[in-house]
Amino acid sequence: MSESPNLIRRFHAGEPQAFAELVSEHKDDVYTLCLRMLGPDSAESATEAIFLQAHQDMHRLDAETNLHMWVLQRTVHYTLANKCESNEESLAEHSALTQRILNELDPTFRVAVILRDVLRLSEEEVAAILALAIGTARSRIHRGRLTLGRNFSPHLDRT
Amino acid sequence: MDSFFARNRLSAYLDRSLPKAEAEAVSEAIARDISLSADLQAVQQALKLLNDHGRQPAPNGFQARCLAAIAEQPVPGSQVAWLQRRLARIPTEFVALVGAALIIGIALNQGIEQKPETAVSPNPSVALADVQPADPLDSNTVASPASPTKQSTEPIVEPTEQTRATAPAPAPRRTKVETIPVPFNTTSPLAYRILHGGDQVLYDIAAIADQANGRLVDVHGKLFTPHSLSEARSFSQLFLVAPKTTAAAAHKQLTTRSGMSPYPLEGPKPPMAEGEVVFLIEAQL
Repeated sequence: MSESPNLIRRFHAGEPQAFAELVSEHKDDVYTLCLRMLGPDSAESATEAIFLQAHQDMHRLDAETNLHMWVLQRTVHYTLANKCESNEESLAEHSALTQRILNELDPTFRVAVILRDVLRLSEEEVAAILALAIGTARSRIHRGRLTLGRNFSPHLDRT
Repeated sequence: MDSFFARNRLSAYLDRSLPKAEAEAVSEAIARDISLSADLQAVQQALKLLNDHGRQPAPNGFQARCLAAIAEQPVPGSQVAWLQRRLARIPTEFVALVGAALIIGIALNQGIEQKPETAVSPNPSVALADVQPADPLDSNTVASPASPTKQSTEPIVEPTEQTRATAPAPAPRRTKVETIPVPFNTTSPLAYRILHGGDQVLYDIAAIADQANGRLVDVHGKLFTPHSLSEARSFSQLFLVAPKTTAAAAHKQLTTRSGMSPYPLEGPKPPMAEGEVVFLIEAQL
């Protein structure tokens, strides 16, 4: 993430390669978050829409902005605002199971668990992205994990 | 530790973020409580699943498709955007300060521009005297009917306002003196100084004397007329002798014309009849 200021400055300077680097660096995290929040059917189009919008808004960014956090924040807002029925049939077996148990979580807990346990962000980063107090973020992660474990119990034997 | 409290700490326990003593207490609670142990195992398995299979790479060719779509969009980051970025860094307080300064500047500028429209006296000498900032004794605009410039016969207070609005820093001090009402008592004669007005001073004094039904005399009681005062005498002392009935009005006009407070008249006075009041006028042409 230390490359963020340089990348933003290059983008401001009109270097097209800068945004290509941003997409390359963050596309997997954005796609994963979209996939786990919206499902495989709309994940790719959502990812593309998020990057298109980011491209339009990036000229307003201060050079010191943390791009990773900024992109994930936009992704969270997009996915929470565009809830849709997820269909995990097209996914591989384990990935489909992951999707199924995540889908059973309330979106507010689901997004906290995905950020913490899929994208492996720290509790502080989760709190910052969700614009929550650290205690609230910890609570959501904890409750999300417990619910996730409860939802996963019937599948324990199969795994 | 109670199972309820231990369950509330499972997440932190899994993250290994609990203090050692608390982690040991949770471990003991898990060993005692089978349901708690089952919950822990389920959460651990679910998190392992998320860890192993949660993350998915973007589909092949996604970047190329995304960048192609971006290439079709209008180019952001124009000059306007560049300006917006820089403006966003300027503190709000600074913008407010500049705005306030602009408003004050515009207000002052409008005040200066309005002066020519509201100026009453067409006499250039009076107009010039109005904008002299340093001299608090400069003349004002009491006009004479005998004046060749045909000015208004009423004492004009507005020029004082003009002066306040237009003159630089010392002007407000002068206008303050002008607006202080001077107490007048017919038993205490007063002296007035009228300076810097050229010939107009003589006409103004004559007009005041005329309106007060008074006469202008020297210390011996000899009559003055405007024409008997020569410009060669740049400084003249003359007395206005007026009936008591018009004395207050004469005092007011002299004070306005003088532009400064009168001072007590001491020394010789011209002869005068009963029921008359005397004013000393020191006029500088």
